[in-house]
Amino acid sequence: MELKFCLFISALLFSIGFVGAVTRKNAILVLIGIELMLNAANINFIVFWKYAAPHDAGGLMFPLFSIAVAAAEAAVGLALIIAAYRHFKTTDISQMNRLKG
Amino acid sequence: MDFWSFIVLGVISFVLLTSASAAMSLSNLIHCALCLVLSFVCIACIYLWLGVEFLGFVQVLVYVGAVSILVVFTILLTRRGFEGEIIDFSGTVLLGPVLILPVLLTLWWAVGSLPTPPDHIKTPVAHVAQIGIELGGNESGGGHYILPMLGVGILLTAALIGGASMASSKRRKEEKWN
Repeated sequence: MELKFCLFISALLFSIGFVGAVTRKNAILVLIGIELMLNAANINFIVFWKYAAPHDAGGLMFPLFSIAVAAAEAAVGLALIIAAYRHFKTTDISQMNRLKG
Repeated sequence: MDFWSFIVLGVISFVLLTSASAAMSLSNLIHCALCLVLSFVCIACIYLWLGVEFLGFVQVLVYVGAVSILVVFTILLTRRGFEGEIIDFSGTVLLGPVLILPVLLTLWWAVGSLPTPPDHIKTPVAHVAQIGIELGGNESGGGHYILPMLGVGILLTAALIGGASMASSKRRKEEKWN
């Protein structure tokens, strides 16, 4: 019961993050939506570990590395947003239509 | 499963989904960041509820402590004053729900068709010592993840240096021209 409940919650969280990442125009909110999707995936990893292979602590390594990579991704993404803001003077992604610096 | 335990999980999940929805729909960016912090805290609570204390505290340290501060700093650095934010949904407002609906229905069907694990099996809790042995190893073995851990360390260092150089590149260029 709790396995399915947690998976439903994770699916809903992924959906919320996806809808936000697709519909919002602010680059920071797009990144926030991606972070929510990554967290939903992490919840899935942990729930499946707990109910499929709880005796092997190695199953926890994947979410651990996933959290570390997500932190690096957030740092680089936010630095990119700051760099783009200095150039375009906005964080609206619909106005960032050139790669030329 | 204990009834009250399930009630606690339900309350945490409700707060998580509500705060995540608010973070994705509010117009004020600072409010969005605060709701994001609340949803990260709720995810850490779910980890604790599942008996994964180590990952719960990693979640608090990394997401609530570090990523949220980065997001707030980015919001503050990219605002031109505190005039009211206008709602900024793009022209593809319907695209998100239309795209996610088949995915959500498929996930719903897949999760619903999973076999239910027996509730009477008590799953063991992963102790920090077990995770440490898996990561670093000891005399009796373990240490299968030393190389991936080193790789993550290099990745984080590269991300730190790259992020700092990207965020400060304009200033260096200006100094060169001046």
